[in-house]
Amino acid sequence: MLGRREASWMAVGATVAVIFSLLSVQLGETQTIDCVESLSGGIYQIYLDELDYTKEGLQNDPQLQNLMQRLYFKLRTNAKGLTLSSTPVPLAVALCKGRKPKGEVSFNKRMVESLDDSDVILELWGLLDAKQLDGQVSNRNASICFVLIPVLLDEYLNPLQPGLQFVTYPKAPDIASGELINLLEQSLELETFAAIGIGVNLLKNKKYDEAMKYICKARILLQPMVASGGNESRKALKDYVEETARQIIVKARGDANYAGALIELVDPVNPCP
Amino acid sequence: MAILKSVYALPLGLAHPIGPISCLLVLCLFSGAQAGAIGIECHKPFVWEGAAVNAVILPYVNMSEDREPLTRAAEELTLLVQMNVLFSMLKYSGVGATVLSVRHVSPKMLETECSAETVMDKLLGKVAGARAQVPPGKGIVLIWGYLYEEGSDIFIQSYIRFLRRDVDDRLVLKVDTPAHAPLTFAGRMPDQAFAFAPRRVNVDELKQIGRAFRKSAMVRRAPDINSEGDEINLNPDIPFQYRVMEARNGWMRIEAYEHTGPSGWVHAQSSLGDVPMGRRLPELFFVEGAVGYLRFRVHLDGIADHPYVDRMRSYAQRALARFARYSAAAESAEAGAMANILSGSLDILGEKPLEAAAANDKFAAAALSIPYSAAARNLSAISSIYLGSQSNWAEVKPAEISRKLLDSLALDAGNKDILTNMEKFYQLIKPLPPATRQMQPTEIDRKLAAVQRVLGSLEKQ
Repeated sequence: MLGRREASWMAVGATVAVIFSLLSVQLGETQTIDCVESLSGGIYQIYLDELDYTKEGLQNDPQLQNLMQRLYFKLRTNAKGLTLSSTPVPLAVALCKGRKPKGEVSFNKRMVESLDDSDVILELWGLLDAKQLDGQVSNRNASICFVLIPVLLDEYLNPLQPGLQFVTYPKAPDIASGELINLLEQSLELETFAAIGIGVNLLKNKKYDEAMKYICKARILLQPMVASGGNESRKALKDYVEETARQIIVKARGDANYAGALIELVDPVNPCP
Repeated sequence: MAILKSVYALPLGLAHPIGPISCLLVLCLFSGAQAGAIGIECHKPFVWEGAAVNAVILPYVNMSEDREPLTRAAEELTLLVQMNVLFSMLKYSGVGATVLSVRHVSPKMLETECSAETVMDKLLGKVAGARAQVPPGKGIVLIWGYLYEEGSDIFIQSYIRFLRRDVDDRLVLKVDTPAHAPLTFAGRMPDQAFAFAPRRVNVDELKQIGRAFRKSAMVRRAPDINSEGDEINLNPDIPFQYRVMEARNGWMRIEAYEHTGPSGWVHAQSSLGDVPMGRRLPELFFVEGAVGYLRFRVHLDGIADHPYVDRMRSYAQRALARFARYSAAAESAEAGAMANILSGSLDILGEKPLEAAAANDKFAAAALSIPYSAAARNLSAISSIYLGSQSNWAEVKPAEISRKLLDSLALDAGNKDILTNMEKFYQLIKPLPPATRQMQPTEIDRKLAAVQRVLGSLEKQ
C-alpha cells in the first residue's frame, strides 16, 4: 500500500529492518520507552523519537546533520503548536531519547496495545538516507514515519492497513539538497494524523460527538492531500477515515445511552461537511 | 497624534497578597496609561494589574544543540519584539507590557516553571507563583517562541495565546423579529492559542537586529538617535519597570519607577534595514490587533473605559489588515482565520456596529481557512443570520444558512450554542414567505423538532 517513494525508501532500509527485526520482536514486549516528558493518566501523548541514519558514515555529512536538526526543530515546534489547541484531554509531546524504531516490526501487537493504553495517539520516527560513492554523498533524503497508534491497533482487523504513514523529504524531487526542507511551508500531516489518533481513541471510549469532530477534521485535511496526487497509503487512510465517520453514526445510533445530534441531524452516508 | 500623548490614571490593583519584591513592583505602578517591565524572572511572572490588557513576552528559546551563539541574539530579538509590541499598544491606552527573563534558568526549568502554559496559569491564578495576576475580566496576550540556528540562518517560530480572564469569549448578536422579542445568536471563538508560520532570518538581517537592538536598548536624553543615553540593563536581578509618558514619531519617553533604571527617550519602532520589523515579523501586527480587540471588549464590558473607542477599533482593524497583507499565503491557517474573526467581531460589536456585510465576508473567509472548525463555521452562520435579517434576506438565503448550521453541528454535535442557534433560526424563518425562506415548512418543523429533542437530552445530562 506504500507509494513509490515510500517503497523505494523501504527498500533502502530493508536490510537494516531485517537486521533489527529479530531484535525488536524480542525487545518489543519488554522495551522500556524512555521519553523525557512521558506522562500517564488521561493525557494524549505524541512520542517524538530520535531521528537516525540508514547506514554508517552518513552521520558525518554536514548537510545531513543540518537536515536532521532542521527536521527535528520542525517536528518539535509543530507538535508543540498542536498542544495549544483545545482537546478533550490535554495533549503533550514526549521526547523519546534513544528510541529508534526500525520499521513496522518494532510495533508488535502487545507493544501497540501498551501504547494505546497510555493514550499515545501518535509516534514519529525517521531515517535519513543518501547515496555514498567514492566518498561523495548525494541524493540526500529523509523519511518520517507517523505511527497512528489507535489505527494500527485497529489494523489487525482492518484490511486497509493505513496505520503507518510516511512523509518523505524533499517533497519535490527538484529541490536542491541544501534546501531539503522548506520550513516556511505549511505541513498539515502532523495535525491530520493527530486528529485521527484522537478521533479513533474517542470512538473506542464511546464519545461519539467528540470522535466525529476529530475524524471530520482529519477528513477535511486529508481531502487536498489526496486530491493533489497523494500516495496509495494516504488514499487508504482517507477511506479508513470516511468509514470511521460512518461507523461513529452507526455506533451512536445503536447506543441506547446516546441521544445526541448524530441520530437525526447528521447525514449517515457522508457525515463530514 | 494627540491620543498617543494622552496619559490618565487607572486604579491600582492590590487585591493579591504579594512579597517584598512585588511591593516594589506594584505599589507605585500603573498610575500611567501604559507601562513596561523588563527582566522579570520567568518563574515569578508579573503583569500590570491596573492595565486593561497586558502583553507578556517570554524570551525566544534556542532549540539549537549549541545554545551559546544564539543566546544574545535571542535576548536582543525578544527585547525588540517587546519594544515594538509596547509601542504599537500605546494607541490603545490602559495597557502594559512585560518581558520575562530566562537568564539563570536551567533547560529543565524552561520546560516546566517557565513554560508558556505554566506562566499563563500563574498569571491567571490557577497556580501560585505570580508576583501579580491578571484581574478578572481583563485581557492578556502571551507571546513566546523558539529559535533554531543553521549556518547563516535563524528560524523563528512564534506562538500566541490571548484571552480575558474568567470571560467566555463569545460573540452574541441580537436580531430583531417582527413577532417576538429580539433573538440572540451566540458563538464562541475558535482556539485563541496557535502557532504562527515559521520565519527565516538570515545573517544580514541578524546584524540589523543587533543594530536595531542597540538603537532600542538605549534610554536617551532626547528623541534623537545621536543623543547620548544609558543602556537598558537586562540583568534579571535588577528588574527595570517604567511607565510611558509620551510617544512621538517612533520614540517613547519612559519614566523609570523607583530608580529601577534610566528615564528618557527610547526608540521603539525598530526596523530591519529599510523594512519595518512588523513587515518582517507580521505576527507583531497580529499582536497589535489582538491587544486592540481585547481592549475593545474590556471597554464594552465596562471594566476599563476607553476615551476613543471608534479610533481604537479602527487601529486594531488596521493592524489585522496589515498582518494579513504581510503574512499572505505563508501564514498558518489558524492565524489567518483568527485575524479575520477578530476583525469581523470588531465590525459587528459595539453600540455603533460597522458594516454587517463586511463582517459576514470576514467570518466566511475564516470558515474557509479552517473548514474543520465548528466555531468558525458557527460564527459565519450567525453573522449571516444577522446580515440576512437586516437585509430582509436579500443578501443571504435561509436555506444556505441552514446548511451552514448543519455543517457546524456535524463538526461539534454536542455544541449547545449551535443547537440553540438552530432552534432560534428555524423559529425565525418559519413565518417568512415561502419564496424568501426557500425551505418547506415540513422540513423546518422536522429539523426544529430534532434540535429540540437533542437540547432536551442535553438538559437532562
